[in-house]
Amino acid sequence: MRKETTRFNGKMVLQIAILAACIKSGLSSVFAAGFPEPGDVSAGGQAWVENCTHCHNLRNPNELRDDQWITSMFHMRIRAGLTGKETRDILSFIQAANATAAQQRIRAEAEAVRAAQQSEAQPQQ
Amino acid sequence: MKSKIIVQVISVVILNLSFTHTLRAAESLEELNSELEALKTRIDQLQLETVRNREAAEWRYADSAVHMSGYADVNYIDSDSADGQFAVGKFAPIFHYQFRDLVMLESELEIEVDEDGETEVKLEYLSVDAFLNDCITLVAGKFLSPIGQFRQNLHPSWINKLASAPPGFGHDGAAPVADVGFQLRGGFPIGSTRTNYALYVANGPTLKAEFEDGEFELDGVDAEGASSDEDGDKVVGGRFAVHPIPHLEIGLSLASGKVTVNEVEDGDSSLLSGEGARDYDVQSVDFSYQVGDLSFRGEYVETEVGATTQGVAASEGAIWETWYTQASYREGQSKFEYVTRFSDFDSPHDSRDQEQWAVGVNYLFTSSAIFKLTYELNDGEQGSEADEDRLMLQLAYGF
Ligand code: HEC
Repeated sequence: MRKETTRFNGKMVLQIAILAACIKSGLSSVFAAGFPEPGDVSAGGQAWVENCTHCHNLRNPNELRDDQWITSMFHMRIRAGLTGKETRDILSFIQAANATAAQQRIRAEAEAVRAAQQSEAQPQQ
Repeated sequence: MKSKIIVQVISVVILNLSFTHTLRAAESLEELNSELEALKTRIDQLQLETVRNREAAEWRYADSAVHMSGYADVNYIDSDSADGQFAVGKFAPIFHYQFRDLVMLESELEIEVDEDGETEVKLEYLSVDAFLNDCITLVAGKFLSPIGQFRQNLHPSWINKLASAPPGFGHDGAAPVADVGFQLRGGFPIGSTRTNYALYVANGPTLKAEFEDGEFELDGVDAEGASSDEDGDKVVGGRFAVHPIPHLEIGLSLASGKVTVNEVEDGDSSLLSGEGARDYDVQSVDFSYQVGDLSFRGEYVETEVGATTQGVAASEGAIWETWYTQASYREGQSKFEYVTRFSDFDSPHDSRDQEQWAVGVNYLFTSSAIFKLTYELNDGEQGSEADEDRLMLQLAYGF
């Protein structure tokens, strides 16, 4: 395996800046609806593990979009007798997990673009 | 002469230069024009994108959310007396509409193809739910019976680990299926213990009678959620469950009210008149426990209907009773899951009583797309359908 050295050029800097801006402002606004009010992500993680395998196999956060999770979590609130707080905490945890996964995917895509540009810039010796 | 030549050369050069200059100017004008065109197109595109983004934002920040989920299954069933056959189990779309965290509408349709190829559509549930506060939700409409856990929590085919419901948990069984009325549901902690509850008031079921050996007797309890209540007496009930430790839930359910015969099995229901309202009582306990890769659950339900001396179908009372325990094992995130369940259903009709061992192996394509192989070893009255063993293959998908 050849170790790749990263060389920046103007275009790439711009791309990365756009990506960073997307990740910073975009993700938080893209994935947050106006309701419910945000919950406690770490309490939500704990409640997710404790409650969401009780009746059925665990459904992965990335199976649904964030807005779809809102209705599903309220549906589960009624089914499982969760409190409003547990519902908000778990929803925030699931949405945070989705945002992290999306960030990772965007980063991987950016890395793939960078790698492609490098191999274009340095033709096979 | 010399100077004349020089002037001529210079003028030719100047002419030439101005010609190329005009040529260049013409070229760059063309370039400019095309650049302008490109810019115009880009501005159009940007304008379109801005509109789209605004629409997306409006959609994103709207006060309502809409989501469709549900499940479907397809089956192959082979029993002792009949040849194996394919069957479309059901397609059950679920609609969710939600206004902020205040109100939600949830509705599930049940679409099935019967033996003759006719399509049946049923409204499995439809409720408008109001989130009154963090611990109380009002659920009004037709809802799955809050008694026990199978019907409200486990019956969808992507959740049920076997291809069939335990005996006594379906049509004419011991466990109520659905009801029409309202519930207050929710959960609250007692110290560090989680609890959840459901309290309901509803129309309650209706009764079916049967005319046999010169007298009427009770045939079955039709507890699938009727939009009418002949006796006018409501059924009141509920379930309370605690989680003494994480991953263990113990539930207790009770319901009580009046029920009346309004149908005669294989007979003329219009002959019924002056039917007396009978006592109706349901009790149930259930538990579920997950430890490591193992999962256990069980449930007992008893429905008791009292006697009456009033009406054409006056008769003795009757009891329907059923219970099951189920164990399942899935090693870590393995694609395979192994299940076994024992159930025992007792009804006033010997021909419907059934003891069943069911075993199954499931392959999980995803957590909600499951291929199941289930074998039921049934023990019932000799020669009755309840005595036939069955092999079932099912492909279930919850979406
Ligand atoms: C008390 C049992 C129970 C618990 C606990 C439970 N679920 Fe469910 N879940 C169900 C049932 C039942 C359905 C199918 C809904 C139906 O058919 O009406 C379902 C459906 C779903 C669906 C499919 C989409 C939908 O809204 O129908 C998702 C996703 C889901 N659950 C996620 C979760 C998560 C996340 C948790 C943890 C907070 C959870 N469930 C806890 C019973 C439960």
